[in-house]
Amino acid sequence: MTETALYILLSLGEPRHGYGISKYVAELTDDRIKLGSGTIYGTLTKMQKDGLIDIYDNTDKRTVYERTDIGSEILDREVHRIESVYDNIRHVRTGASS
Amino acid sequence: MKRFYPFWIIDPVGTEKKIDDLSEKGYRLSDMNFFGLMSFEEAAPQKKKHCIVLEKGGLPRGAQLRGWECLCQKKLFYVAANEDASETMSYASYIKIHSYAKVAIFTVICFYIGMCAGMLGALSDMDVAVIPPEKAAELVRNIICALALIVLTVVVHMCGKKIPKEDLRLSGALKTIPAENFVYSAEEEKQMLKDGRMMKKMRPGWFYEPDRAAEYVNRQNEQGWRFYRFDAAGVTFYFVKEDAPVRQTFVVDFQGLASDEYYVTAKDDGWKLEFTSISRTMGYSIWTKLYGEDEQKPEFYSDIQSEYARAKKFLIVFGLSFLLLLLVSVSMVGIAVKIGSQGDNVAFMIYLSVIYVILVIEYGLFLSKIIGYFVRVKNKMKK
Repeated sequence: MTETALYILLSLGEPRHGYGISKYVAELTDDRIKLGSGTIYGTLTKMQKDGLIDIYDNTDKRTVYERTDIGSEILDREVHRIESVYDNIRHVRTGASS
Repeated sequence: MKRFYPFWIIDPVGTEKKIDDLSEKGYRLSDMNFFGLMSFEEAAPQKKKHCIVLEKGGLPRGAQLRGWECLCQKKLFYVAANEDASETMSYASYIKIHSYAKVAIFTVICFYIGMCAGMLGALSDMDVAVIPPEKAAELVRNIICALALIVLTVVVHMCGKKIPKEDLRLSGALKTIPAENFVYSAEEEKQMLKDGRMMKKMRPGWFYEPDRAAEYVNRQNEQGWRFYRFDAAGVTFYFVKEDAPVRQTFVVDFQGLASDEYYVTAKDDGWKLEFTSISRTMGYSIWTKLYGEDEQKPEFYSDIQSEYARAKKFLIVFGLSFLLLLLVSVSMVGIAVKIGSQGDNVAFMIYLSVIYVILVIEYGLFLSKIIGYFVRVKNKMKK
């Protein structure tokens, strides 16, 4: 999973539209990650096709998305993977320093 | 009660109005199929707003909270109703359907016109008295079909006009250049061009190298020229002179059939829509964004994977189109040379060959630009 997809899934714990996601991710990462509009639109379209997210509301102004159950499951798995990578790095570094 | 609205897909707004009227008369929609056959059951007369939504997956949760109720759901669409007339649903899917319908009808018209031309060509050598009646009947039938399809195209176009203008404007389908981009009047522009405060540069074929076009605009920016607008054809760049170098991001984006979400997200993020193509199927948009000295250069694509996906789509759609045109043009040159060498219509065949040779050069140039752009993005991804 790309970093962009991971952050989008993470931000859709509550319903958000494209720009809302971009703002949330920028805040969360202290402006380290600024998702471009083209990237957000393309990734949201692909994730919706893959069933990871779904439309929460569809007004004449903005499409609001939310995470599906499959999306939550995939996110959990990815978080678990990152946690285990982090644990491994810590283990190696602690072992190396001791 | 049953009602048949076979043209619901090209006239969703008109069909919704008919369902609204029946609801007021005490008929509630209970079922509808793709061919437009609708079933209504008797109910208390109610003033409701109906909406046919061409989306898979049914009525979204948020819309339910806004009072929308799903009356019937099929695989590709659903019909929802709301007692509050001020509530809205997106028409983005209709814009897509209209574009697809227009392309499909146009393709079939071309097919019929081709058939008619072929038949006329074959019959032109024959004596009118000996033309078999079945051949003549087939020709008439094809002409009638082509005419009927032209009428259908006009009907589709007229129905498209019923879609709320705000939705069309939002998606950029109404104009190639948004009206608000014309900051200066025609007289003011003329004067500015004379004074040297504005310049215009024609660059045919620039579109097929989006990255080099952005570099070109940036070079002008460094000399204090701010991109102002395009001409209606999207070939001529207009720049306005500023006192100092300008920091401006210029992006050509290709999305094919983009929904309103695309335009709204970019506009919310501060991007200015400079141009959007008339053809929605080959839809591309041009965006700019000014940024300050202490700001990082804004990127429309923040990851290389998305940029690569765009370049790939660009290569498939435009590359294949030009490859096809190139092959047709090369074949036409061959045919013209062959006929000319046999001594038939030599002058006309020379004229035809010259035209097609020019087209071969043009299409070949565009194709090489498109492939070059794709290769550059691919190499960027490999780094």
